[in-house]
Amino acid sequence: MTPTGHRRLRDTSARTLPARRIGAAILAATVLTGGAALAHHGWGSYDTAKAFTMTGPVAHLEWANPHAHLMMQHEGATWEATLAPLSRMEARGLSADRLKAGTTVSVYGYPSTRTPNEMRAERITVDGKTVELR
Amino acid sequence: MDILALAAALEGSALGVAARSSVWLYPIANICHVLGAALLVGASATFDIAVLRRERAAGWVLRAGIPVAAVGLVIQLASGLVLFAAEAGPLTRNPAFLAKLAFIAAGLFNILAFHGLFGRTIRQGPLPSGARITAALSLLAWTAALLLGRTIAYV
Repeated sequence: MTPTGHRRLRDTSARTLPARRIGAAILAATVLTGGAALAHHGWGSYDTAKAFTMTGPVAHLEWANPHAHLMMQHEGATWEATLAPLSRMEARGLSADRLKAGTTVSVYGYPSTRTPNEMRAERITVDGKTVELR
Repeated sequence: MDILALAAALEGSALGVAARSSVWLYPIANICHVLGAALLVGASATFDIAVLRRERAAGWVLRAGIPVAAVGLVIQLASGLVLFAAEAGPLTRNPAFLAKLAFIAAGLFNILAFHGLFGRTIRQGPLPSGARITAALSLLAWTAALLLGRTIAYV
């Protein structure tokens, strides 16, 4: 708010100013919370310092909201890669058809610090095409 | 049927399947859930703060706010059901979700308590000071429910 606007508000309605301030604070909090709800979440529990790539055939694909998942073998263990929301992947040209079981993919991402053998995928390469998932 | 079996049944229901497999149903429910929260918590907080500040116009604020909060509540129940159906099983084990439900229950119970105790008074004149207790409880319950709702994704 400009100093002029502030003064005008105080002059004309000094008594209601606190209520307006509270209202503005609630509005700001609501807008901020709403914005956070649309932003991506959950990257905090993945170790970006240990980024790695898994390459091999897709063992199992779970094409589902809120996040798709795929299972694959990596260094003798079954890993689960958490992908992005379906709408984002489809908007970027990635469909369930292109990740069918048996398809060779390369997934770059970060291991979970909470769940063993779970990776949060940053990007995935299939048929020579790389799709960013964030 | 216990609550866990009920959650599993909902997750496996047609609604649960649609929430997971449809590209846009889940995102749309999520987007609407933000709007519903803004309407419900915003309208409630405006009234609660008016009561806490002993505004003489609190009764008018209540009349103006009830339809807004009611629309918000309906949006929350409908969109929340879709979001819950998508992953009901894991959600029943999520501490933030369980705490959120407790605060929603407290908020709804508080609405009943307020209208039972002061529903008549509000139309006649200034509210008794007891109303400030229900206003404070309402502010706490709905704010906590909103913040815990956003916390579900991180715990």
